Amino acid sequence: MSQENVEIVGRVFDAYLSGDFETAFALIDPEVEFDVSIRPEGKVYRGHEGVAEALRTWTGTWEAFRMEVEELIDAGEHVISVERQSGRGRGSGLPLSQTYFSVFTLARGKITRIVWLQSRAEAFEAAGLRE
Amino acid sequence: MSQEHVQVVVGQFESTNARDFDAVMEAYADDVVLELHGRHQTFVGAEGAVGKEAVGKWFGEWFKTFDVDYRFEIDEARDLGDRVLIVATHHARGRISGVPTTQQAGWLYTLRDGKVVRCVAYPDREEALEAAGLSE
Repeated sequence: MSQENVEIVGRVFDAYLSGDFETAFALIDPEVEFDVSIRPEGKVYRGHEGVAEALRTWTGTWEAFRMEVEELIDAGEHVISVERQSGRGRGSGLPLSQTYFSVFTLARGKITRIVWLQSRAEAFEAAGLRE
Repeated sequence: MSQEHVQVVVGQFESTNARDFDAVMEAYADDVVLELHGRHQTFVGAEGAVGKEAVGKWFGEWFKTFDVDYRFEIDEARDLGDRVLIVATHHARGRISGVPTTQQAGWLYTLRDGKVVRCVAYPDREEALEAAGLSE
């Protein structure tokens, strides 16, 4: 089951990065929570529209935003992703590159919760893993 | 002239399928603009691109989200004078999951002097038709 969860998260990233939102949202529970408390707005977004708003808000702070998924880690009902995000700050034009960690929680083949974290240790702890 | 425009745009898709990216780039004017509309506004790269090099780079980044065997199939190509409407389906496998994916999108191209000066992507055929003033 947990390898299946890794595949589901991989499909969601593939779909999001290629602009295929039907596929992405078909694998995300309509009641999903998207916790991006680490961001300046410090907020938990809810539902598909919340996820879309959170992504628009985030990518709107960048120019030439790019994301690469470096790793997907199986953690049973959770999947940890390691993402390299890069681009330029909107307004400043300064090049930015940062690694973020997301913990996805899945139930019945859908993503029910996503939490963004700043460190690998935090992500592992949130997913109940030890390095 | 306008049928030639259709050939330029269709040829660009065919060159992409053949991985002849020099030919793809040759079809762009230096000041070409790429825009994304509709649900694509949430897409990584939603800001589009301005200029030949930036547009080429944008598509390069997009193609990198797929495994190497992606290809386009043109479902519809309409001559609209200085514009060309394309409805195309891309077939690919996700770079991360390896899972096959198929997605149809609409494209509205504007040409000047035989080169593409504007390329607008729509998430589906209906939005592209509406933008072209051809709602069914």
